[in-house]
Amino acid sequence: QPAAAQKARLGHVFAQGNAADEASQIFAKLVKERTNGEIDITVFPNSQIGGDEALGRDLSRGAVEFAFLNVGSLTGLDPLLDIHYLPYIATNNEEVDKIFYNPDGILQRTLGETLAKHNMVALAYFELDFRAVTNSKHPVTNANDLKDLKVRVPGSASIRSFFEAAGSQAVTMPMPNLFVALQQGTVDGQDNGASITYNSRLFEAQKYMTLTNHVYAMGAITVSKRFWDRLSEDQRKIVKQAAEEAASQGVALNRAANAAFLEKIKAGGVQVLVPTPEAMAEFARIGQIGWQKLEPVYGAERIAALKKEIAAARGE
Amino acid sequence: MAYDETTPMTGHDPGAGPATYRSAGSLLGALMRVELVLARMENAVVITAMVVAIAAVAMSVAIRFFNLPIPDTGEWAMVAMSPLTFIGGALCSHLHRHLTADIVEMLPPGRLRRTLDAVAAVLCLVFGLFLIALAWDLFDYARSSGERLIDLGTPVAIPAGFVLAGAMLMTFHATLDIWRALEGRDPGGYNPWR
Amino acid sequence: MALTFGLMALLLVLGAPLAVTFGLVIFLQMGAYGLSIAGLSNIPYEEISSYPLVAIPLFMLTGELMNRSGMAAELIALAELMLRRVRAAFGYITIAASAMMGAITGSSVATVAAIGGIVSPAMIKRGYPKGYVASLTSSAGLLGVLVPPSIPLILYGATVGVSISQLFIATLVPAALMAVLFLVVHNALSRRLLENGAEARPDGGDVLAKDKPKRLVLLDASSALALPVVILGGIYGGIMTPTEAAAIGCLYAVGVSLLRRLLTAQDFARAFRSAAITGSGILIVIAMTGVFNRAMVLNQVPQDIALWVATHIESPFAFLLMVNIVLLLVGTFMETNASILLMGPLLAPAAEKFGIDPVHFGIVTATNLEIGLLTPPMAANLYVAARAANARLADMLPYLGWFFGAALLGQAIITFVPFVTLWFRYL
Ligand code: NA
Ligand code: NA
Repeated sequence: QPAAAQKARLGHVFAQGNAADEASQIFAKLVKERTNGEIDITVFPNSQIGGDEALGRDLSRGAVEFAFLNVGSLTGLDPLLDIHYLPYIATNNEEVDKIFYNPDGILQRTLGETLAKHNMVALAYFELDFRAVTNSKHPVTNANDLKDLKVRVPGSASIRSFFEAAGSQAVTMPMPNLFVALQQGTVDGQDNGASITYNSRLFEAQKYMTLTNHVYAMGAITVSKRFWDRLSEDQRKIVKQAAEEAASQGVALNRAANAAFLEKIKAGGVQVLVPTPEAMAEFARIGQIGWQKLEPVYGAERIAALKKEIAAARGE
Repeated sequence: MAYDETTPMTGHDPGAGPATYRSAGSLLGALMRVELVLARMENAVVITAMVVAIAAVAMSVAIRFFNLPIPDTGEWAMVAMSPLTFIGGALCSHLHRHLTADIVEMLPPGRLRRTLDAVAAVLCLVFGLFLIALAWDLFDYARSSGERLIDLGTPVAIPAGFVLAGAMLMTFHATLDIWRALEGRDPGGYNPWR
Repeated sequence: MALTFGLMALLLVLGAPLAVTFGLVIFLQMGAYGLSIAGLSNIPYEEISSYPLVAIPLFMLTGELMNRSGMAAELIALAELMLRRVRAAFGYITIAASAMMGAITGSSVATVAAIGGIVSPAMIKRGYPKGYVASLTSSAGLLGVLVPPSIPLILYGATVGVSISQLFIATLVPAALMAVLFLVVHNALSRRLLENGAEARPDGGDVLAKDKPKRLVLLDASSALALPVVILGGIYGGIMTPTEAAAIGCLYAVGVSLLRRLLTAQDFARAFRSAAITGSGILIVIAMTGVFNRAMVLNQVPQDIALWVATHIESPFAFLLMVNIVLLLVGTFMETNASILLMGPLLAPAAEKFGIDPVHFGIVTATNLEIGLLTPPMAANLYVAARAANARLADMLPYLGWFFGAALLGQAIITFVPFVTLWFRYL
């Protein structure tokens, strides 16, 4: 039997007002309304109760109930958790919707099953963004321009593989050090998408931004298994439904915001470049080197299934 | 010359050397000699951790500067922080060198002072027991989940294990501090560097 | 809340270590705070597994090596030679060196670790009370964050959405203002504290300046002088980050000590051991403040206060005044960076409503919370400085008040004279 009013905590790393934060507030509100206050979720944004790795640990042990989790940061728990960071799975929103937001697709199944192994239940997936390349050395218009760049990358084998294949020097560096490192030239560039590049003010220390779209990132609205098991069948239905609605509203908000972020980045004096179709094809070709290298990590079957889904999405 | 780490913080020498108490041959004396061995091990661990931290960070600079084809070693510096903090914390317990509000230290030596030393030691013991519970919970999770750090794949169980070991050592030092207070001795174990 | 703070005061009075106090206050009230062992177990580990914190023990070690090898003395001899005619010169040296360190690192505590470790023994030898030395180095350490780069300002800019470059420009005059205020305090207090108002001339080894030819003093100091050159050059040359500079600084000090045969194996062992113990004493407190901060955040204590201020205040003047009072309270009990992440986004929207410039408000918020590094119990600067000078907190309190007062005066000027931060808008 579920208790009368359950207090629950939701953590995430996104800044207040970010689309993912808005989505988390929508989720909390929907759940509270529809359960008549039986489940009362308080949102803690901005890493207030820990970063992604800490949230993963806490969800896994039932110490935190919900999180809007950037699953790609949890590869320390399981290397499968950044399979969706493989370069150029999708190059536009249409393909993204078909491949990433398909509940029966290989990406959601792989992430969901892997999280389940660690006592986390993925309720729905929300949008982070397409990643881009920024730097201060010279404009990047084609793959060749990446060769002499020192680029800070997150701890993901997939993302690293792309830059290494392109001949850049991929550098690991914690996020809080990145702004000063870019300003002082310890690294030349970084590869976050428009929202983080704007919100973390990285654009102030950069001159050029190239919309390479080399990786598309999504996160998971996750609930701790321990908490999930305590809920009644009805409550679970409500929570799951609310997560799906919040996620899709979040995607819409994010896409609307993304264009605005790019405008603000331009207004900040950054030259924003869109590669030609030929240049994009070359980037994508380089991305394939990572696929081969990482096949043993993600498994040949999953890679094959993903390639099939990609072909279908492109109508090939 | 810098101040030496053995300069007493408390106004009384944290162990004037094993000779002072050796004569007793009591159980406490024996335990304090065990404690001394542990403190020397703690010392070795924290110094190693410092060396690892410096080497790892310096390597990381070299790797980036010369574009060496090896993964970034900065992760080891972060791993080294765990023994440095928690095993180092235990060494602070042994030396009675934890940071305090320094109010008790202003009292003249005597019964009140000794009673408060005992009370503080009991608080350290209770704290230590809680910290053991916390550290065990993390260690157990890190071990069973197999979580690793991302760059070099260091198991999280290693730093978590240092938290646990440090918590246990701090509890042990606190236990002996209570005992010392009951026997009217000054807090802190034998000087490990004499 | 009252129970928590009462319990904290009681434990501190009873002589429990700070780390034990911060942990125990929450452990004993776990139920009331809705926390569990599992909910807390990750925090101490997470808190210290941070790359920027690695700099603290490493700067401590650099300081130890510089002192034990005599390189610090050489540097000091040179400074003395240059400032021979200046009364109580060491206070000025400390403040200037801290500002210079501030241009290197974004952390106040790292600045205290680096500067305090080197100047404290020299100042004590010249007749300053230990407590005064620790108060001076901990306060001057604020320049570590006031002079850009500054980690708190980066966090503020990123979470609130204000230009970090503008924040860095806006903090320049406030930094200079604070430095001048500290110089004034030093000038006044040193007259009273030093015998005849002048520094003692320590006899023996390290007062080289008097007898040695100037050329030789400079030559001796050159290996020590190269350290800031290596570090600054490394950072501004784009070779390394500040944390990395700490490690390279250590290696440099080890290398020079070996080459010049300044230290024996035993000296090295002592330096390492001393730095490790000093460092871990500070780190374990930081680990446990994480537990305390989490309990506060989860129970929305600072959030509720911010909400109250944002809804109950009506004039910009009263708002800024209240914000300063609230932030001082928050900074007393919470760590600076955690407070910025929490309070920045909570208060900034209200500030905007009152028409306060976001850059100005960012500096007001960050500077205020940085002053919190001087207010115990959560006062990292004090602990590091006390350790470096081998002083007790109680020794520091009589002097600290003056520096704290100066910082508050500076804060008032920064708050109510926006031109101090926003001058660059009028260029
Ligand atoms: Na600075
Ligand atoms: Na404080």
